[in-house]
Amino acid sequence: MAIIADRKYSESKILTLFPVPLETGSRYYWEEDLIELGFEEILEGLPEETGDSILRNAGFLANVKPDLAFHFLLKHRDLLRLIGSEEIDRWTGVVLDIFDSKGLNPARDFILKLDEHPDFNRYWGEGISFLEVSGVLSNYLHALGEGDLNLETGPVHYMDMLNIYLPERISILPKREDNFLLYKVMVTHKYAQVKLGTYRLNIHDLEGTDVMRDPKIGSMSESVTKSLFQTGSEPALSSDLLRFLNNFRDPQLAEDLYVFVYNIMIERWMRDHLPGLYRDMKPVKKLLVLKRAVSKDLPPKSLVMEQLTYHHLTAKPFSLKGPTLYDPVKSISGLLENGEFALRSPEDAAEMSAKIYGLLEGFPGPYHRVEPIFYVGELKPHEAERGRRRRRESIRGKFREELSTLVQDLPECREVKIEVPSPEYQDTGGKSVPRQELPKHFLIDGNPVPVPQSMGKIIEEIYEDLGALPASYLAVSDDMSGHSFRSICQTTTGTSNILSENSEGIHVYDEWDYRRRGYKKRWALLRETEVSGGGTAFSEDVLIRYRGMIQRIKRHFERIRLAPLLLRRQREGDNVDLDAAIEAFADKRAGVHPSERLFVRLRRDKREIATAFLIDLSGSTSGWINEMERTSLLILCEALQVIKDRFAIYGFSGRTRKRCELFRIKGFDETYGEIVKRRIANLRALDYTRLGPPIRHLTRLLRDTEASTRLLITLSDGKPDDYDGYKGDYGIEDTRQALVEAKRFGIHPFCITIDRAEHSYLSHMYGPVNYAFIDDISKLPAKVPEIYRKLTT
Amino acid sequence: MKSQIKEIEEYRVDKEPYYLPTSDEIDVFQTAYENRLPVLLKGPTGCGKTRFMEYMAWRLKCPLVTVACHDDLTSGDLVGRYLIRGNETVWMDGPLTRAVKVGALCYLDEIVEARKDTTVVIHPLADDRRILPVEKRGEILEADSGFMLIISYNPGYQSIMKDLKPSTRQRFISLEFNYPAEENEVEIVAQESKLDVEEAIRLVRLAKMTRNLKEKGLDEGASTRLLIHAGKLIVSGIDPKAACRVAITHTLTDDPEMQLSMDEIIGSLF
Repeated sequence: MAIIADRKYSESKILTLFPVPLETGSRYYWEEDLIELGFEEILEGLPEETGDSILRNAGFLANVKPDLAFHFLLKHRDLLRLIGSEEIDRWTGVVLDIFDSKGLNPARDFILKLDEHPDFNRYWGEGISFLEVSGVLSNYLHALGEGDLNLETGPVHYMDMLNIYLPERISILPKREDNFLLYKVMVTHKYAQVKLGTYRLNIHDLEGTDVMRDPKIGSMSESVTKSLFQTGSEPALSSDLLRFLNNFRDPQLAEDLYVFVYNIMIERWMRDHLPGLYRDMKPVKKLLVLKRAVSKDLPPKSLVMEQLTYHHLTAKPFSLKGPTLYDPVKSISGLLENGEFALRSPEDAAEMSAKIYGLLEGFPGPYHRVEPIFYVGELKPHEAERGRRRRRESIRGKFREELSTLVQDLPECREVKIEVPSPEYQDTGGKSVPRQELPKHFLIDGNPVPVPQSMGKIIEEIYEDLGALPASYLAVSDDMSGHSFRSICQTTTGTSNILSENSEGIHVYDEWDYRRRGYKKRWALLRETEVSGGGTAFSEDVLIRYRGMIQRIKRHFERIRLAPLLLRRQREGDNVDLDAAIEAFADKRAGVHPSERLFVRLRRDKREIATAFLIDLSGSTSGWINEMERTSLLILCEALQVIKDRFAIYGFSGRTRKRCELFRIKGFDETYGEIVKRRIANLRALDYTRLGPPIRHLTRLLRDTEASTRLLITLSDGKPDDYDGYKGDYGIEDTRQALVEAKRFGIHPFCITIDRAEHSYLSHMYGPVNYAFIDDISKLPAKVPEIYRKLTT
Repeated sequence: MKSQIKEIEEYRVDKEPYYLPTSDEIDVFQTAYENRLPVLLKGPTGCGKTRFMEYMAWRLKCPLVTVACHDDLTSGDLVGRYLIRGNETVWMDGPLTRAVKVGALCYLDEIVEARKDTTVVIHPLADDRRILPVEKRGEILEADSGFMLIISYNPGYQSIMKDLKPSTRQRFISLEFNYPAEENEVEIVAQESKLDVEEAIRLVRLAKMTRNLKEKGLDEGASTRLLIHAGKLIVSGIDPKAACRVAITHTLTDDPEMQLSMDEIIGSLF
């Protein structure tokens, strides 16, 4: 913290949180001003634990922005009344998240407006919030089999093939567990939409069906029917589903019917595959009926839709009077419940919804939309088609990446021919081919090569989307052999040379250019500098705040230290190894020269492990990530003290190849103490992420370190990325090459990442089992020591 | 069950163990046996490696000597040692030596758990020499023609401290095991636990869902063995959800959020 004037009240825990003077955006506050505002006694009257919590969280905020701590302390009493002391930590986390994502003013706003701020209710409103359950829902979705769909919040519930949009909060039902069940059903329902192909209607598969044969059923004129099968007739529409729906006179009614019918299909699937969920849904469905807003003056078509919905949710008979509406509703329900009409595909659903549309066509009046079923949400074909195309490209990219890994050892990529044993996908003029059996092996130059496990799910998704593997996916390109990416990287020469090769303390490293399959000699300049020390407040805060976690981690590490302590069959030691002694005695009696290794010894030596931690200090790690990185490092250092492994910590950042910087936070020969703690406290996010040079530098350091096991652990939040074109394929390939070089020297690299974007590149860089992804930054302090412990035992 | 004390040479598998092949592993193993090649069985825990060994021992009509490796295992434990009986010293063959002498299948389970200085004892047996030096006796034993060395190993283990040395690995042909295909796994679970097929289907679906969580919160998904455990509990009258919780959830994870997630998965199925 910048202190311009001398501090007069250095004893005060509150006042020392702030710089002198404190700038809050509207004015400056000197110490006397803060005293006048009552800051010295601001925590008086609070229970000790609550006061400690407030002080601790104020410290946390002050470390990021003193302004935030200032407003927090002024508002803390109101906040305690609203959410209670047990929620303060979480509330502070929200403030920091807002600061990271939106900046100081929105974060300040959140503090000042308390429960009047719109974001407040996301976390502390009635019912259940998405944020409380997002971790569980995300795991559940992954378990269902959809690792590529993300969960997001939005005002409308739908799925666009990339994301499932859920409400920020559900409080429609009185019980919390029922509201959670709704979240779960919504996630399952949208997963089933992907699995059962809601958006994959193929219009040509409707040719020859009743829908098309008898236009009156679908209410489509012959001319309209013909136009459906003419390519290019409706260029504005991008999917078959959209084209199908828009050819009805009332597309909205057609859409609602399609959604309704598809929901029945999905719920049948849930009944067969997730019977527990299906059973639990039933009472909740009945409760949802009570919450439906039903207008009394619905026109006939809408009334029928509402009655169908009512019947579906309650399984109760209809309450309509009179034959004019009752008979059609009964007919429609009969159709839907008729087991002879299979609902197995989007085409079946389209056919059924067209039939029902035909039955409703005769009713007078317009169709006014009825409320969608809560857990079904909306259909958004435009968004889904956009998402589907992006997803298709992403899957294609992943497939190509895996394929290139498969062929990378082949000498002459030009002559490689890859086929699948079954016929490839061919364009049949719009007619879809029935989905073929998934291939168990490829034919590479005629030789069968088993499909790697890593490709299995990717191929399954391609087949679900396209029915087969297109020939273009299997084409081997020149630059595939030995490398996985084909996108072109623009590289520029470096900008201003900040480091000079001839300067003292500058290290020069080659850089791998995958396009030329060779090194750019003496390309990157790296400087190793020491991090200057910060204050002690940060480390003190962390050690207090996380003391419970630190104790637990230390106990785990103690077990590592204790477990292999007893070395058996030693030449000297503290006690006799009874087994060895008996064996020796027996050997001697038998005339065999007995072993001299007859003792057990308590291990006092070090574990013979040396680890270099490489911490990403690029600009993207600012704010909350920086906070968590520093916290994790402190906790890890505390834990490593228990087992006394040799370790070093370096941060890296840089800007262009001529200015790569490596910051020594703790060298191998330094002891962990106040100086290192202060350096950790002073770590700040800087520039870019050029990984190759620091990895090469630490490889050199580790090579010179005596240890039987040497680890290089990187903590990063994303892909390699530097200002001068070190990104994309180029950055990834150079990083990978640097790691290969490290492995050649017997160093084991490992990466811990918090990259929220897709991170399949890590498998390519580090190897499939040499990285760990942490999805929640707040778990970093606990996870980093745990990963280290698992790696080294 | 009546306990029987058998000499190791007499340990033959008399009754055909239940084993459902997943691929051509039986043929490959048999061919390796005929060519006197050692085999490495690779695969996650609980996917059938040991059961496969019992089946092959029955099929080849060989005794099966199994050693569960651990980090206190010494070369003396494998090869043998002198013991004192009364006033005499008596040489006692270790399980490896006995298997070599009688021509048994010697199966070293979870070989990476043993120290590397113990593991190297098997090297002369695993190459074309097929000999076992017994240093204390000053002997070199040539393996009987029926002898075969098999080791098992779980490659998913993340620790860098426990890995198979290349000099050991490259002496073996490898058979890769994985969880069975869904319909096979249902059959196995139903057969082994005596659970009805409908419930077995749900258990296998549960396993598949946990395997989707590998490296997304779980170190490993549920193995076939865990499903069989859960199945046996269900057959014995334990509520299916409770059975899955104790046999699967709490075995796979200690993380509270992951346990909650798995409760939801179980709740969807049962």
